[in-house]
Amino acid sequence: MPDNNDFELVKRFLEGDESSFNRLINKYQQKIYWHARRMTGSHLDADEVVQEVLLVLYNKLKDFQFKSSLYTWIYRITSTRSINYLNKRKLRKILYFDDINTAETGTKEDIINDIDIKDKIKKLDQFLQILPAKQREIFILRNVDGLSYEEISEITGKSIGGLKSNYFHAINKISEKMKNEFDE
Amino acid sequence: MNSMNDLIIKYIEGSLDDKERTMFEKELSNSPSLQKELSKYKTVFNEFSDYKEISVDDDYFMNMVPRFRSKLPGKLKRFPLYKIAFASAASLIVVMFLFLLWNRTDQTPNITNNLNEHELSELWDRFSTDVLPIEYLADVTIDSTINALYLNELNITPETESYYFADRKSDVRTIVKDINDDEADNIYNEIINKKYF
Repeated sequence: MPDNNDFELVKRFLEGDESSFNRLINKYQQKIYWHARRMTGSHLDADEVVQEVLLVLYNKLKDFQFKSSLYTWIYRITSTRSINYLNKRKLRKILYFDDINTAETGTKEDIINDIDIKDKIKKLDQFLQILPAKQREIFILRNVDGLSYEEISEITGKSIGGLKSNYFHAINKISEKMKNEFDE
Repeated sequence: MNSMNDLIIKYIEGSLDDKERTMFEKELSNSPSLQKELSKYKTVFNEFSDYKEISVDDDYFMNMVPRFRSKLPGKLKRFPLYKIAFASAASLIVVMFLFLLWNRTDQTPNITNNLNEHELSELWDRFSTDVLPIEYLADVTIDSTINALYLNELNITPETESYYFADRKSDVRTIVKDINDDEADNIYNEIINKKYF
């Protein structure tokens, strides 16, 4: 069975073996999708980001030098693309493009089938959306994905002190929002 | 972030060593405010623990790569004559550029030839550095002179002028309706790249 480690897969893909790219994506697709979904707050938005991320990976893997781990690089691309996507969404509202860019995405509205879980996740997405994008990124990476501050620092380029402070503020904001919601 | 917040987070995450945990729990038993703070943090952690392993439609992930592949211009990318095609297109652009440059040089004197002596002297007076823009903005004569220059430069005849400028009074919504997805995407990217955000 061919080696499934990142270095070998990237090497073989760059030598022309397209199936290695597929295997690489199969390995990381869940991480990419869920990070994009938590960042954007919806399945359809996440789906667009995912397709963009795959295209970036396909075109930029040749530039990856393995100076950092591949997965932190993938997280970084996903975060950047998600934040760009959110900025685009803001612009759509400002520039009246909202009703124009409703292209067929070829995917269904959500991939969570259980209605109770779907409602729960929708609520959590709403809590996440109250945070500024950069703070949301830190909260997700630390709280949900369970990455270490060192790994998050590699992804975001922020100092560990800054990350801890942002994480703490994010928890407090979400906690306040939860308190208000649960008290209603 | 103060050290107590840091301790609370580490306590919930289970990353305190035995000695630190014992001290924290001792402090916790004597401090109602710390208990309240811990409870607040625990609520957030508990709620988000549900966002970690979610059962979803497996088809989506199975189709992710095939969907991406279907959008990829793979055949074009590996077309053996791609470089030749690119070189031909580049050469054509260069030839067209030189052709237009040649014609532009020839046409430049024609623009001034279309203005009479009065229009030329007025243009010269109005655009000299001692005239403030506000003084010539409202001048209708100078506007029509400049318009004539533009139309001449763009090779637009009086007959076609009405066609080109028919929707001059369109508002931004009308213009936006004519913009397709790709153009809109380019506009977003241009604006985002300028780092307004």
